[in-house]
Amino acid sequence: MADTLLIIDDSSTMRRIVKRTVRMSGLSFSETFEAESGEQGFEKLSADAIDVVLCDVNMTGMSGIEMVRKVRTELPERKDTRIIMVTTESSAAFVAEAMKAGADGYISKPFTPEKFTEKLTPLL
Amino acid sequence: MSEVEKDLCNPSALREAITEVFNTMVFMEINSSGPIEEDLGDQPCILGSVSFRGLFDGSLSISCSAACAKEITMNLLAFEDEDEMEPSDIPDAIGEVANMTMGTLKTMLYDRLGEITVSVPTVVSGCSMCNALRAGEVKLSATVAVADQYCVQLNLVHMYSGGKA
Repeated sequence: MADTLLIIDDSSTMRRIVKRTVRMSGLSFSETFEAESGEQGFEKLSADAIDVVLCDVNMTGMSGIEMVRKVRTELPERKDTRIIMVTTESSAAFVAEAMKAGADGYISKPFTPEKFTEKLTPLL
Repeated sequence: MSEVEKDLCNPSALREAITEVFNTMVFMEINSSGPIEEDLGDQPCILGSVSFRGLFDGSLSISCSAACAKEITMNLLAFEDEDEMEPSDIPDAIGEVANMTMGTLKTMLYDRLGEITVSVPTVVSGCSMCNALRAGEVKLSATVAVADQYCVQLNLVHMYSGGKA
């Protein structure tokens, strides 16, 4: 089981919902961190090794896709960090763009704890 | 009228989208066919909206009374007590509901609507709020009852743009 989780979302409400849903999904992490922007998320990942990142896409400032791309190109030491996009986007074009940027998967909103289990378990 | 315009003028798509959001994440029952007791009238309301750009440009907004917004927030964030709530929680929650409803609608209409870009949500509060339509804009409204007690109004304003930025 992975140790650490980073939730990146510019909405504190959504960060709490994601945290609650992770808890309800039965997945456990030793520590959960939060970042309120793509920039802050990148800083956290620059400083610390994180096992799993749940990242919003549509944020003011650096978008989630931009953040993933930056992590994959500028932080090769984080190549094992699994980054999952949490988004209302689910089109084939978005999925292709996210994967090309370096994301490991996506969870579309609205979501259920079961969806978290289904998407995250294979990556842990 | 094209098929996608028919979709955008069909209130059942709006109702279906918000029902999915409420069933999945808010855990409050939506009733789109029964009588709605709450009269928003001149009482203070909260309105969350997102704008979108693509083949059609426009915005989706949801509005409800302050009491309803508080109930939605309590459910969405799984609060057991009102004291747990912070002042920013209600606008954040209503913004997220608008955002997720738009996302669901976008997924439902993707085959016909294609790619659209959705803004981050904005939230305002006030009394007797309404959309000021520009020339060429079309407005679709739908109302649903929440928990057989509250009224939530959805407005989808759109205009064909042909996908020009």
